[in-house]
Amino acid sequence: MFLVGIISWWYGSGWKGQLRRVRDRLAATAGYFSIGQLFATLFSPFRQISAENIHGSAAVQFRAFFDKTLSRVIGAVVRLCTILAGIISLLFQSIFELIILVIWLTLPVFPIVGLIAFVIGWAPTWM
Amino acid sequence: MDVSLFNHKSLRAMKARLGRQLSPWALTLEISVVLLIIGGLTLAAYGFAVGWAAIGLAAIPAMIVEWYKYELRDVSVTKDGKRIDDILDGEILGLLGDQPTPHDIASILSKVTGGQFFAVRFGVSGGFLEQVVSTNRDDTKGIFEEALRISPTVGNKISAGVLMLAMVRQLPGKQTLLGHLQLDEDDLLRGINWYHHLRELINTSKNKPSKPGGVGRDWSFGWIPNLSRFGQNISELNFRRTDIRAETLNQIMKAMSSGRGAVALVGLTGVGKTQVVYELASELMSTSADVPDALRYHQIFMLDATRLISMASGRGELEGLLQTLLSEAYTAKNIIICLDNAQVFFEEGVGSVDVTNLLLPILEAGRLPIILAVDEQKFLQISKRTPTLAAAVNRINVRPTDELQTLSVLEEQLPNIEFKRKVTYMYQAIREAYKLSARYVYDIAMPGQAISLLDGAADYAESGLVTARSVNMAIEKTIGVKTNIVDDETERDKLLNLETLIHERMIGQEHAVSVIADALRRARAGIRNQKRPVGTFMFLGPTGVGKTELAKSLAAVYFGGEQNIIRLDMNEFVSSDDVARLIADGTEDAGSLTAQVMKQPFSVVLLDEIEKAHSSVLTTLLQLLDEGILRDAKGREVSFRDTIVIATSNAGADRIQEYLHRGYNLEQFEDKFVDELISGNLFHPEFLNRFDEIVVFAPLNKAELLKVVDLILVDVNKNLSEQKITVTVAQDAKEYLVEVGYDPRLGARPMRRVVQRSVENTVAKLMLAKEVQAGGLIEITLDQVKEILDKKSRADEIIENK
Repeated sequence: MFLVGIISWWYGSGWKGQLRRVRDRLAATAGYFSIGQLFATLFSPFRQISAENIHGSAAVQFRAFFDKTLSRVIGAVVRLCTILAGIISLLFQSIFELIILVIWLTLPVFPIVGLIAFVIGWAPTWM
Repeated sequence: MDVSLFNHKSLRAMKARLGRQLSPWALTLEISVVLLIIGGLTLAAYGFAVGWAAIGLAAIPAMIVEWYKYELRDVSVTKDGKRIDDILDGEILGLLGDQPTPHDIASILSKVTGGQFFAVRFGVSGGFLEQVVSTNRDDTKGIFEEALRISPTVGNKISAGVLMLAMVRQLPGKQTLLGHLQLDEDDLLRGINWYHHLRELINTSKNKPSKPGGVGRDWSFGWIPNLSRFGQNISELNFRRTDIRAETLNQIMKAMSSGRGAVALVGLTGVGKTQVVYELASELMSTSADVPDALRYHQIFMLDATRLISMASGRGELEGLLQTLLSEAYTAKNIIICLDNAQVFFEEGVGSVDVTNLLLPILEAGRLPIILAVDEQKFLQISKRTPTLAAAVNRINVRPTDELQTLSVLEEQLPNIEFKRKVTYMYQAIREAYKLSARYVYDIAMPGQAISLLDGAADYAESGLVTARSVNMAIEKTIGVKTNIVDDETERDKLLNLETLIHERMIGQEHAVSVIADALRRARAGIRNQKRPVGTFMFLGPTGVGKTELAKSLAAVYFGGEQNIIRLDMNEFVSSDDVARLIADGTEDAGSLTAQVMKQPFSVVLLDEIEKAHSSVLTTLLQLLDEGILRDAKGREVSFRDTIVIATSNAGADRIQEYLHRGYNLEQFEDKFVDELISGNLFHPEFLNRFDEIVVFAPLNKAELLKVVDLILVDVNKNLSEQKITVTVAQDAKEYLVEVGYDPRLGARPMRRVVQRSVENTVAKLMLAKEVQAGGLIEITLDQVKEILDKKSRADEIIENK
């Protein structure tokens, strides 16, 4: 019962659970970097600095327009950097999660592979 | 065991048992995985092929650990399962044998988390059940069938609580057991749901992100340096939620997302207005689908009025500061401002500054989301003063919670209070807190009433456990009311000998004394009607027969002193306008009946000369006599259910004398006399009928008057105790004192003055003449008394107090 139980769980609900955990971890990382939200507000003024409507002469309005544009540019740069950091993190994490999934799928055959390797007797000879 | 009811060999049952067996080995297995991998890699690295075998073998404990962690440790419930082993809590299932007896099940319950929860919170432990349930295997079937019947009502699960309830239901003496624990079956059902709710909270909190929205959440929104300094961001606090206020939360979110941003949360103090705001803050930070997109990740900043006022030196500066904060909040675009105790911003006074002119245009514009938490009365006052303000906000009423809702709130709040006070609360304490606070705590509404009492009860915890008794003690110590059924030896003796104790202070009137004593004994034995005063009595009779003295004696003997008498001279309530004085709010008239009883609910209420009160006053008192409650000027229900209400009246005193002169005794004319009072329109029958007992006091006879003289002499000797002098009075002198001191119009009342004056004057003369010294005994003779009261007219003078 033990062997049948563990193997059937491993490739059944265990595998599904593992996929779900991988998905949740990736979503948590994406959430942590707020990637979706940063994309949606990419060109908003950074922290709403100089975002208010200014009334006045053309010079004043031009100055306000300049300030606002600068605020937007700063915002876009900060957000792009964060998005980039998030995407790189996600990329690395995806590779790591993929390895985890591959290990999961192959883990039950590890003892056999290990024993075969032992019987063959191969070992690195770098030392 | 019938396998259609419980299949010990089902896959889930086997997994649960395997999980239990693996439980102590889980850590060892994890360590062995690490050691095998490290050892294997090291060996392989050094050219030993056996290292591969070690790495390969590490997979076996690794798989077992994963299986244990994600399936065996907490085997999930079988969907639509019909058998016990399908839906029974995995922790219990793993311990259950093939043919368990009720005793075996009880034994398991004492070992599992759910069982321990019930042992601590309800006092129903597995160990206790082990002693009362059977050891017969056949009885298990009934328990399992009962558990299956209960499970649909508690989320299709069978946890420790469900099994406990099922076992209790099967017990022949279940009522005795539950009665002893002050519980009923509904309480246990409530406990099961409470436990399931806590488990769910623990599970969901594990998966909750620490910063919803991520690091970039606030970058699109404004920079708020001043708001961060002067306000408190309550969205950073993670508050748990009950579903009780779900409707109110939806109302607020709907109002705010509809574009009219100002919301006034209006309710009584303690009703949970601030709590609603905290819950809203938590909800907006969640990923709940109920949150409108326009409000998602909005943060609520609480502005503390007192802090703002103290930081600003004057009105101008305060307005400037508020303007800055509100502008910041507006430009930030993700801020909701909450003004707690908002009334202080709309009125002039100590600790408050009226900034209506500043806030009103902002509220009317409705572009900045603002929540005002305002006391109900204050909101009415503000609305009356500034109607445009009331029109500018969406008023949302926060109502006091009912019993079930309050219990839910208390269950939710309990972990916070327990953490703060380092105690554990029993369920019985929570229920008692609701019951007693509803009755005795007036200044705040539910659930604040119960929370404050529960918090106070922590001071009376026994070995870290707050029980119903702790709550009773908290009430008894803070407001002096006796709420618990008597279990103290001294008090029991006092109650059993109440008549004797009262007669140490007053003479005669045995019938009146015994009805009062009986009422009090019934109350303290817990067998009275809880929805009425302890006793309501009408004492009728001439002046000076002991009506008032009995009320005073009762207060002194049982209610902790003569000061615990609330005495109202009803001749001061002779017009209909006086009703207002009777029920006035304590802040306006501390001497009103309702204010005094609020302050001192365990007392004797003496309504002297009731016949002189206006009929409107008597009508007002009807509800008091009938239901034990009276509404004060503020509409609060004031409980008289722990008072003894005594009304006295001289009405018909002449008629009593007449009956006695005609040779009737009291028992013969009592009923007829009361009928005469009704037919003479002195009292309405509906008023007299409200009293538990109408007692007619007869004038004291000579023998009783002599005893009164003895009682007065006891007091006189107390006064002389400082001079170490003891006084006795000869029998013939006492008889003389009775003769001259008794007045048919005033009863025995003047006798105290006559006795005191004659005895004290005699002693004074003897002391000045140095005929008596400290430690001496004086026996006052008839001659000495006559010398003082030389003429009857002298006694009359004293009687008339001239």
